Amino acid sequence: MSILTKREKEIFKLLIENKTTKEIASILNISDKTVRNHISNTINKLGVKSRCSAVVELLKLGELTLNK
Amino acid sequence: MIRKKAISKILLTTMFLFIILFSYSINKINNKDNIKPTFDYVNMDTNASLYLLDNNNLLVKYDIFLIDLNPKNLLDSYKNNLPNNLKSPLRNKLKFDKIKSKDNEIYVYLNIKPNIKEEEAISYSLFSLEGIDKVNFYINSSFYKSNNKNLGINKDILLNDKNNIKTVTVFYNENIDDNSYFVPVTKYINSSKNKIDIIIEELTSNYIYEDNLASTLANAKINNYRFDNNVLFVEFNSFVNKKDLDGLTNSLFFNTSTESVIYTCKGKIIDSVNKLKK
Repeated sequence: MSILTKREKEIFKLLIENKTTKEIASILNISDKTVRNHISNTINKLGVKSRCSAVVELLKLGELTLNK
Repeated sequence: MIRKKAISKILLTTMFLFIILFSYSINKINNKDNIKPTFDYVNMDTNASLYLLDNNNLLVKYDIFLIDLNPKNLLDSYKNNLPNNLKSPLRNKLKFDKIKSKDNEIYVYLNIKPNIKEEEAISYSLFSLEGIDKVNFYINSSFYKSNNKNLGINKDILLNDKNNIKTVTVFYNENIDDNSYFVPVTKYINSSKNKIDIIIEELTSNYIYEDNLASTLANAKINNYRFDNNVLFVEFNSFVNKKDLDGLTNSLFFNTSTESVIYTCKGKIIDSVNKLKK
């Protein structure tokens, strides 16, 4: 019932931990291109224009949380 | 005559002794080294919080006392008479099918998907119960999501970069019908400052992003703060009223691991507060 798939959530969680695309790919054992595709899909789903805007939307929706 | 003089001397001596004793007691109270935090942080007349909506669509912390304190009774309180100008954030069509608890988690079974306000209100109301730090939502018996205290409430998101995001929950005040309530606002900002600096900056600032919110410490100046054996000492530049410190205290306890805060000004203690043990 979440807007994001499990993988998309994993990627955005790492993005807001200041990880680069390359680092995310390495951690999740997938290619850079796959990471970028997941990010693009999420941006399209949310109807925003950037990674930062996507993060804002996901925080508003409660789909992403930050550790205190 | 001699008797009268004797009585008079006894009375005078007693008075002097009393004055000395009184002065000694006052001095002892002001001696910082002898002070331990003396009272609990939470109002002992209430034992839970219900989060209600104000006229600006913000969730306001409404403290209540429940004789039979449990998650179901807490959430049922949304159907009770509520204060003027505050209303339940729950839509009429939202129903609780079942509420269960186990250890530090509560399981809430709903008939429809909650919107953001409903989710925040239900979660944070349940977090006000002792020992609860996770709320699991089910919709028609299918798992929907879990929330912990990182969820955020009344979110204020001011980001221009996805990196270096800090999250801090600041407790502002709102006056509604001569009653003062706390409104927690979770801020997401790009900042390298530590959380205590962000809280102090927010609460001592003149400007607050919502017109109806206020800080009782606007224009106060804090010289410095330090930790000493897990007690946080905060030094003000000039005297502030004890009652004006609650928003700062709430914010500090919510965002840091400190268990005690002592507020001082020019070496004298203004107030000392302990976090209620959960």
